[in-house]
Amino acid sequence: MDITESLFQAMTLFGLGMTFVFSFLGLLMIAVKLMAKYIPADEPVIKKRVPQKKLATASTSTSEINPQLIAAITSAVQQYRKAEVA
Amino acid sequence: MDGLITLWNDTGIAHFEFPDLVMISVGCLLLYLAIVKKFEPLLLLPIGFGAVLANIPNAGFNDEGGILYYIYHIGIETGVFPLIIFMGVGALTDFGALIANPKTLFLGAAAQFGIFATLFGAILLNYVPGMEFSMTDAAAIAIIGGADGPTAIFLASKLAPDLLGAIAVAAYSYMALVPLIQPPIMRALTTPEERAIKMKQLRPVSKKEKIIFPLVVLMMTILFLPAATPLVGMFCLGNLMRESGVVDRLSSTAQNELINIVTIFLGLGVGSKLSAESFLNLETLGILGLGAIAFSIGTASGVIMAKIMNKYSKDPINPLIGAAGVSAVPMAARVANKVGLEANPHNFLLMHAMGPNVAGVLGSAVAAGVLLALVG
Repeated sequence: MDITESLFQAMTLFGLGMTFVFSFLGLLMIAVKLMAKYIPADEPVIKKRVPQKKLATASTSTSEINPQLIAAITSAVQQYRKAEVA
Repeated sequence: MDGLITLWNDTGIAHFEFPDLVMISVGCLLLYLAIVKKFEPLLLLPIGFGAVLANIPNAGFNDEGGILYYIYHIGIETGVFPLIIFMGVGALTDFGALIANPKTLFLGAAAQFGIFATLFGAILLNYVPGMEFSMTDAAAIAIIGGADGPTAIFLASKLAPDLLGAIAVAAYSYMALVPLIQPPIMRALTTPEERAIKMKQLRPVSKKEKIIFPLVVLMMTILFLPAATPLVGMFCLGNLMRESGVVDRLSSTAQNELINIVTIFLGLGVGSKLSAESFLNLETLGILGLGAIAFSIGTASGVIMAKIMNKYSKDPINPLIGAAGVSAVPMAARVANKVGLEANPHNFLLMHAMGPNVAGVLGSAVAAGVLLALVG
């Protein structure tokens, strides 16, 4: 086949191919958006009594934590982040 | 004395010809790249070793009855190995980031520009004396721009089996070179402010959406592009096994043992195609050159598309994630993340870049389907 003819064919392929890929993935995008709209989100996994207990222990434990300890952890985290930047 | 001559004639030294030696050194170069440079070692190591084996004189690895002959015919000529790998890739892929931000599908589509633009390059190379690429050859070479190994091997085995060795080597080498090829292009096309753009946190995606997604993709492929169903179908099967959560054993086999076993044979089969007569010619150079161009164009068009979308979208989009639209999962997404961190050390783009990254896998599978349907 003559090269000009092949180039012309390549041009057609290019046009058709890109249009097709875009419209296929575009349609898929619409499908995913519809899915997001109509499919209910996961119900958060709650076991009724457990979280209450956890909350209770959590609140007591926070009051038990030494404020100095919290300060130490905060500064350590800040230092780590600074180190990461550098 | 006769015995001695017969023995001498059976040694490798007596039969080595120059092209064999060159190809064995190409095999050794691939081994070097895999072991020392750690370039895609999982594939380049078996490919390199396969290339060494295939070029041993008198061993007959590639003749009927030889092991490489059978590996190639059973697994690659039939297209079975790349498809099994694709199933494993499906089982390894999490579409969460894509489902949470479906706009990124367009980035995956834009990056396929590299594939179709390379078609012209391949045809134009016919002007260079010593290179002759038919339309099917051009299509098989162009798919290197999809940056997806199994897709490239699948398409090449269908459209241009003679070029398969060069195409596979080019595809995997450039995938390994993504961290070198992409960043300069990404920096050239974006300003530091654009690179520092922060994106909105992705919403959580429900399990139901993740299960239905592969089925939707499959359904659309069945309706619009049946030529792509071997690739997309296997991919979706793997993904459904992963997300359904009821066949953990199968899913884990597909993403570990099965993909590993097939990778060994796929590498050997591709290596067997690196024989002197089909590799040592100008066309191979052409293919390597075109592959690099395809990659660069794909990266650039992804970034440009992301810039355009950033202008018109209400949520900001960092243009860097567009570069992840050339599949090369997850390397391209990591590169986007890394270049983003250089501009803004607190801006982690990895999850955002995974969206276009997996969209690129779908995009190149669709592009392969289009090429198969129109050229094959």
